[in-house]
Amino acid sequence: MPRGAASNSRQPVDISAATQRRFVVAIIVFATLHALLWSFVRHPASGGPDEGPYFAIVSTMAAHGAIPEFTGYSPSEFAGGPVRAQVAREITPNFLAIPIAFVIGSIGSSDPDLNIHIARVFMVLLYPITLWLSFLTLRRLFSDARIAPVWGVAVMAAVPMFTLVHTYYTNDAPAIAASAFATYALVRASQSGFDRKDTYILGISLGLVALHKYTGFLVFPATAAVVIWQFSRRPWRVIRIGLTLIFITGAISAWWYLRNFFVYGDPIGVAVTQAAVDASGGAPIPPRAQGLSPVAFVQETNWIGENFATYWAGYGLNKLKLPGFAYLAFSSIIVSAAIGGVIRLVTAIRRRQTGTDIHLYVILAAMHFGLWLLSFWSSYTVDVALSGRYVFPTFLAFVAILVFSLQSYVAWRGRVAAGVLLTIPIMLAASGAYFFHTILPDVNV
Amino acid sequence: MLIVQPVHVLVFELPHKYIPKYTQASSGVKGQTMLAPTQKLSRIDVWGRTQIEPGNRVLVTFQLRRGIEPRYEIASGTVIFNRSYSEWQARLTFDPDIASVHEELYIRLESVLGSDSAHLHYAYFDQDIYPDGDLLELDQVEVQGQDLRFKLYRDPTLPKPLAWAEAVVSPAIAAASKSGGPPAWVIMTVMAITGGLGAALIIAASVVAAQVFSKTHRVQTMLATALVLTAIAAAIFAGAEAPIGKLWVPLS
Repeated sequence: MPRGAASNSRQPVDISAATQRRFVVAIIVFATLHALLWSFVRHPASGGPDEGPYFAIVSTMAAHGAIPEFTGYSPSEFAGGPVRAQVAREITPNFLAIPIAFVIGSIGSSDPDLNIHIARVFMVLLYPITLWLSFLTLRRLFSDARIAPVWGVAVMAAVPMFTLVHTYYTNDAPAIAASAFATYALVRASQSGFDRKDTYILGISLGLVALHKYTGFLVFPATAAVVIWQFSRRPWRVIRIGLTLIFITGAISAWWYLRNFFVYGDPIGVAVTQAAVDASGGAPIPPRAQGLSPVAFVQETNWIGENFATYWAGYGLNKLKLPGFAYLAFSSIIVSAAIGGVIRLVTAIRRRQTGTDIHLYVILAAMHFGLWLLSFWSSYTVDVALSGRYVFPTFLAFVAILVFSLQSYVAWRGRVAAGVLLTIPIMLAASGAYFFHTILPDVNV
Repeated sequence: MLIVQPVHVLVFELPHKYIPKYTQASSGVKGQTMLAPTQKLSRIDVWGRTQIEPGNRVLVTFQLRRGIEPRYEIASGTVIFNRSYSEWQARLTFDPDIASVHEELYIRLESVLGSDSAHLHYAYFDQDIYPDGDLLELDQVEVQGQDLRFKLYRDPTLPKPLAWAEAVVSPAIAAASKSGGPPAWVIMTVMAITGGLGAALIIAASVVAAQVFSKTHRVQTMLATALVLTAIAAAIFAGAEAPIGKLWVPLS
């Protein structure tokens, strides 16, 4: 019930904290069940990009009780195809695969399809964790507009591709969850002035990020930027916080990189993977090495259009895309938000708004757009991968910037908040329609 | 309008990852062979587009035939197009008892163009997507490995309003079965809770919004908001099944 709804006050009313929480819980339960349903109906091993190969690693771990070693690619594995591997799946960190392999090894079936469905349940369970952490983050950032965190969580529950990555076995969903945890911990630590407890929590979250896919790693420079921004005049504090975070992160995750170093002589795995790709013979030469300019690369691959399309829904060139009008709607929202974001930022700078979280929004924006740039650079220089899902570890940052930017036009309180609230069931209905009209027919052939 | 519209349960649709193309049909015959995937098959949808100048027309006879060679007509219906449509979805409905499961069927589209300036195109795929049939030209396979764009539906086993639930739940159960997913009761339970939560969110959003809009607890505002939200959500969910501007062709 809205606080003061029945009063005659001219103050804009807002929903109560309890109502906010109830809406968020309902949306998260809806999204989780929805994702569970998607996971039930997708063909095993082809539920999404590379599900089969990633599950093969879990299967090997379950069977042999050890992390499989990368021994190179079969001859001509990449010949004739458009893409190369960037880092071998066995070398890419994905800590969650270990407990999943343990569960499958303990209670799994002789039927591999059933085991894939079991592994998918872990991905589905990450969805409510990510959404709840996102809510906690957005609630901290938008404490003056209670509808904003609810709407943000609803966006994350309704974007089809974000739902899809939580419905098949992948290394994306764990990286997204770890990044959401780190983003939450970063905002929390920033707002508390990096007190000891929050710094420890941030360190733990960064350790978990380091144990998962590299696409989550931009939270490291983002953390450094926040610390330096807030304590630029206290260098010893910067050093103390930095050392604490490095120690905790290293204590949690260094073993993986040491293992890579001792097994492959390459802690990150890019060099050893590229050497193996080249050794397999006939692999495509990366566009940059071909002498293609970045502009020509974008034109030739439709990099921007393809990444934008697959950010919202779908993967591959045609798989599970949305109708054209949906992309027009998303484009309109993005353009409105971009204009609003610039207006709000310029206003904040001109008014010298200190004591606010403006620096957090700037750093979150840098983190999100930085990942887009890295994704582009990776496509251009290594593997020509065209998928918007690679930037999902910063999806929470994107939603925060989106809300921040759209709020520049009008405060999300009172009747505006009510109007924003009404868009939530419509977004969720659209997501349900995608399941019915796109996900289900995909199973037929 | 959606409420009075007959309910059909989707039983087969080609995946959306394939992009349909359009093939021109001059006066002549095109068609698609298929196997009835279920009992009580009651509807076949095909897609086309027409370009017709004022005063001109295109006549299309939709026939449902049974068998391989010879094929026997079991139902037919005729439509006269007298204006241009960028894309129409013809819903061919027929008696659900005229075909049995796994029976070979042939949907035959015979067109007569009023003049050379009239154009008729059918949506098709230039890949062999559908394993149980082919696109035919003049009743014969002209190019191997092509399929007409089509959807198959059956009659619901339950009366309205349960038929709507059946139309939503049944394709999910079939998909889960194909994918080695959990049994039907699990799918039904998850869908029921998800649908219930969706409905609860519509009601809750309507209640809260109505209170903010009217600053009172006016039931009328709340009900109107809930109805509008439900209508929008239903229209989005129904998608192409929304009842506006549809081409229904009863075959008899």
